[in-house]
Amino acid sequence: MDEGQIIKSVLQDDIESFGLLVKRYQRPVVAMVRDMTGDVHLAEDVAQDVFLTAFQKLHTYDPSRSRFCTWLFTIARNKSVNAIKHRRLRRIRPIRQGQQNMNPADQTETEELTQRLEAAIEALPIRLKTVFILAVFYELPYDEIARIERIRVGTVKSRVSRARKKLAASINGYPGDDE
Amino acid sequence: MRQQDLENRLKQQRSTIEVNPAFYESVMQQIRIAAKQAAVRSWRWEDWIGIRPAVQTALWAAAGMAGLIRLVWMIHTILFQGVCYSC
Repeated sequence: MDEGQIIKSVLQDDIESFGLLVKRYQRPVVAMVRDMTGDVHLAEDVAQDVFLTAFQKLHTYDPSRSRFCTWLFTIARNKSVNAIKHRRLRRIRPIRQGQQNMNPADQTETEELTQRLEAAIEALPIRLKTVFILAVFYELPYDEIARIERIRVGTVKSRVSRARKKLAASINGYPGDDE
Repeated sequence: MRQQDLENRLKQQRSTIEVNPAFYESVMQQIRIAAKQAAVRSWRWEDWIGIRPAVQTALWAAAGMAGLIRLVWMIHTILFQGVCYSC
């Protein structure tokens, strides 16, 4: 069942069809909110709120203007920013995962660098952080990010570049990309 | 390790994160409640008794017309017969 059909059936009062959208997008939405807020526990609460708002406002979604995921990420972005403003944040918990094909010394070093990068991302100003996360982790095209952030495509590009430079500068020990 | 590699590593981690298994049911529960609340808010007696919109309009028009005729008739009797049958 494609997204258009699912949305149509939800709008025709088939509420359970919305579950298909929740199943499809729960992981990226929770992950994105977690990245934005830096709070594991808050992320699921905010993500729930994102889906609830999406359900309530589904009649306002216009497929000719954007993809459904762009629309959903816009809600997620706004909810995350609100959550950050309300300062309900607790501590960041990095998402850790070992790599089997590395020797222990390399793995420790990589783990350390990854954690430092994660902390540096967390410390980025919100405007740079949002754009960086959407572009790098979720690979959204620049024009969609521009729509979400209501900025120009050129501004998106410059923010991604500035975020990368800041990350490179804030993490000692590895060189930044010369992009 | 280059910054790009680290970014890719973080990106890969995001695609494998585990969402709490109760998350889905919790979201759907809230959505069912929201749908019920929305249904209550938009409830109208016309829907409940199942009258079609066209019939509703006709009934309202007929009731309005009857009221208007009654009013005109009352004014007529007061003016030309000096009697108010409603009093």
